[in-house]
Amino acid sequence: MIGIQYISAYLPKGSIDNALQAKGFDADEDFIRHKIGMLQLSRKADTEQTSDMAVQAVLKLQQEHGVDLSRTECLVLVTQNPDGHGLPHTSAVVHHRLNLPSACAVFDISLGCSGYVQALSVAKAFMQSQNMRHGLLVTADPYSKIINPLDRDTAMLFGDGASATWLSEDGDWQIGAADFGIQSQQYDALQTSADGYLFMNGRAVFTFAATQVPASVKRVLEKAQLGMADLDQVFLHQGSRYIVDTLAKRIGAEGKTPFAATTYGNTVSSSVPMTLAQHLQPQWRKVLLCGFGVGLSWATCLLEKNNDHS
Amino acid sequence: MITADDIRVLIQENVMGVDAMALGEDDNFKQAGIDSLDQINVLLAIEEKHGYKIPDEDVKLCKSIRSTLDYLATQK
Repeated sequence: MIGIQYISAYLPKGSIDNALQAKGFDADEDFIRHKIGMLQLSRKADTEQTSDMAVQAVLKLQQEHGVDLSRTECLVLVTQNPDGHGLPHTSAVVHHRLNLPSACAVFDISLGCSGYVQALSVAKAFMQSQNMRHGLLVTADPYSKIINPLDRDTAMLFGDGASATWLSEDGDWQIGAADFGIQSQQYDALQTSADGYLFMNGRAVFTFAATQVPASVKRVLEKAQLGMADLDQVFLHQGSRYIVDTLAKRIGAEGKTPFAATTYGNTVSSSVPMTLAQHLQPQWRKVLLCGFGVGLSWATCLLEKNNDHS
Repeated sequence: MITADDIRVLIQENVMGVDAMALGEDDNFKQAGIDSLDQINVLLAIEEKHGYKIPDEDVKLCKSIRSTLDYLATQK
């Protein structure tokens, strides 16, 4: 079975002092610290492309875990802010920059904050159907490209980051029961407006997450015949500290939902893998992942430690 | 019919650091420490527990317990 072997994260060097920025929005440091939860927002350089961030994440995977990239049979990139105008697909640029084998399936997936969790299942199914043994799942969606710095609803939330996950046959973490869905009647609650800037209806997104995520988590636990007590940790999309805390309470997982985005912000589809890269412990047996956002879509899945790797 | 105490209970359950039971009916939510995120959460709790539907454009009408009750009285 295809599973997760390694995860690495890349953060650009630049950052914004969010508490300082908040003063311009009549928000105090307490609000930033305890509600938004993000004291710094990472920022790519103006010249840095989405593909540059993706490449850096993969190079970190190679440096940190000694991954042999010549064995890559599949490269999947999750982004909604691709290089240039989106053609060619950014994964093609990444493939070239990394000098990966030509016998490699290479495609982008257009999803936001639910993207990593959804792409795990897509990549797993695709690789298994073609008897592939090794693949890369990369996330890189720099929202600084579309943030209006004067928009109070979005400017204090998003940071730039990228992740790279090495998927392999017999990987350490098996991708188990999952649940996917969309509340598409509110597809416009998170969208790029005609002016090129991100628009977010914060109340709609909050209400969506607070109602749909607990139901999705419940369905996955039922499918897997597990209870919350059976999970070592629940990795929720890091939309803000407030949404993570609210969801933790609603799903009965208080104390099990790490918040890792304090120094870089909401990195969209990279937020779950970046949190995993920081907090996933080898002694754990079962963890849950949940991404939610653009669409308004959600994706939840169970990761189970490969019993052969105890 | 939802009451002031019903709203206080929902504030108590959903907002950290606010003594909801001591909240006066005319106390402004923001001045009492209930910020915009808390307000959205409390309104969701009102919708879920008491069956109201509060459209986005009406959120601004719910700035205190009394104004929230007055608004809700027009909705059911």
